[in-house]
Amino acid sequence: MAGSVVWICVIAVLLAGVVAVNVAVLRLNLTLDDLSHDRAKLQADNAALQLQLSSASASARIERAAEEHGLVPVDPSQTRYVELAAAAK
Amino acid sequence: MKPAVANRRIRLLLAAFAIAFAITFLRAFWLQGVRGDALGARAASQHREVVTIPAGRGTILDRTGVQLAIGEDAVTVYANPRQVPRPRAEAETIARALGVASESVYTLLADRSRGFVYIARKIDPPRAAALQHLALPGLGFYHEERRSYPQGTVASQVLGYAGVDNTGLAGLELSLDKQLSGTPGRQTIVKDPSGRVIDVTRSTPERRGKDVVLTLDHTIQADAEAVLRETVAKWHARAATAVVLDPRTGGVLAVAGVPGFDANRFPETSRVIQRVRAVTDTYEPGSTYKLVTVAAALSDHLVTPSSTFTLPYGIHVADRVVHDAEERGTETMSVAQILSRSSNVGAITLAELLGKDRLSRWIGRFGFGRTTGIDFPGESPGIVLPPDKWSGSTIGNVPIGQGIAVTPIQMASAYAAIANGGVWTRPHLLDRIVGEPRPRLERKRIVSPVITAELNTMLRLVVTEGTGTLAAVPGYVVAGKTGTAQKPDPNGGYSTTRYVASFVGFVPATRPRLVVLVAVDEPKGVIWGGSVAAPAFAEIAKFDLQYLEVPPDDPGSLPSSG
Repeated sequence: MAGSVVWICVIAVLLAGVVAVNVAVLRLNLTLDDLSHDRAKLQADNAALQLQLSSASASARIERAAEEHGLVPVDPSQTRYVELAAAAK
Repeated sequence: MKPAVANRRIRLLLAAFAIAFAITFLRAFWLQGVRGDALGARAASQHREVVTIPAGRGTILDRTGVQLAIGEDAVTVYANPRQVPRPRAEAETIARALGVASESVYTLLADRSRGFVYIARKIDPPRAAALQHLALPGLGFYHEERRSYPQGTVASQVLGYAGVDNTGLAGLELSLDKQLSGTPGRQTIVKDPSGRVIDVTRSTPERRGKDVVLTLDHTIQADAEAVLRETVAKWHARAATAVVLDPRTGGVLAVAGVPGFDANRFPETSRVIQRVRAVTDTYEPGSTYKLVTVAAALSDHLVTPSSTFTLPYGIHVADRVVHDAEERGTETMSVAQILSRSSNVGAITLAELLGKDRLSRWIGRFGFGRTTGIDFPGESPGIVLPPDKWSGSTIGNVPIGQGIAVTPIQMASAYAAIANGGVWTRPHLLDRIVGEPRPRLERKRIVSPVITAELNTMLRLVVTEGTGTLAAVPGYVVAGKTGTAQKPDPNGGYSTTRYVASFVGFVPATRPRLVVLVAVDEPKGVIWGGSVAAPAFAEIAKFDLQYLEVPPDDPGSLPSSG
């Protein structure tokens, strides 16, 4: 009689364990789904930011912005180069 | 209770249980054994789904790492007209949210013969979210990648474009489609009644397309396009093309064409404007081609740069007389002067010394008459007649760049070979595919170092005392050649009003870092390469040299800074 009770308890615990594992797997899958959505959103945000960055670094836009701030292009003939070998002497 | 009654009741109960069990068993057998497969499939279709995970298209970067073409998130809106109860009202709501004509949306929603219609492809996510928030019946949404060109008009012709299904349709988007396209993934998912994924039973991950790095530099490209726009406006020209090459590697730093277009608006642009004229279109090069004639005569040891010729103003070739561009008396000119003063008579005299077979061989050696092999679709080989097809007057045309057709990229490559000590390098736009080794450069020697040095010196004279003085860049030694070519007339012969003005050269001539070609199509008023194209060359070269921080090789020619 006592042996039967023990077996019933063991089987009950095992069944509860199986249910618990399934619930845990389900929860993890739901978390995974949420993370997958987050990942897709972050990738989209990242692409949008890269797009913004690239548009912002366009030479024509920078030149226009510089001109609006009163800057003028450097005259290339005014650029001077220092020869390091000569300077070291 | 009597035992007999109790036993009868027990038997009745047993029979009831037995019947109930039998019914349950039969029902279970019916569901599991007979209809099991069909019901299983129906259940699976309700909670199981195979979804395709789209693979992102690779990014196109310029040599500095700036994105020229990139994929961005977009949302496609679709509908099942059979699930739309009030198409008219829903069409008006959708039209207001998306800013489109309600009648076209209504036509789609009213067609109940179809279970799927696109309402809008690849719209901005905020706009789609606003529409989704309205929870209209029968409407669905899914995310897609939309190709975007953040630099707008910069290099639009070279980049080409990808279509609505993200497949390359033109330009580098087409030629590099295999590398840029990824492999879509697949997932078998199990959903709960609310549509949330609760299990993934099978999964093949997507593989994003590869990123590619070009040799183009967006700053050099943008500047070349700006200079061409100014040049076209100044001379009321039909179009203009510029090529900027690194002669050491054959890498194309810029290939500009005006008029241009915004790659984000490619469907509205005519196919003519979309062409990369520098690669796909040919022109008669005129005097810039004299480099080949002179190089051939020097290489075959028929002349030296100081060899002199007595040259009249005109020369008879078969049934025609060819003159120099400017009227003059009979003069004695050295070979160097023939090039610097761009004498037609001198170039033809050298060609007659060579003969058609030797000249043809040198034309082929410089790469004319066949494609350069640049990694761009639709390259033209140009038009070069084989020697057996030459007429009596051809020897009076070809040496001065008439009667042949070349592409600007062929011409720039030929000058790049001289700039690179006589070694021709295949021009290319693709620097590398990210994650793969850089492709090997294809090189071949076409002119000896000694002859190259002589040609370099002679081409400098063109800029210091010849027809190309406006190509001079303060602080740098410039070598190059002007060209002014009449365009063929559709009715035969050559037009007397339509010209191509060009200049091609390299700088700093003592240690060349840049080859720049400028060709202006049909300038009005002034038509000379030295007046129209040479200043544009100087503008482009001046900017690029400073941008690339190339030290001057002739600091003495710089204006004093006071």
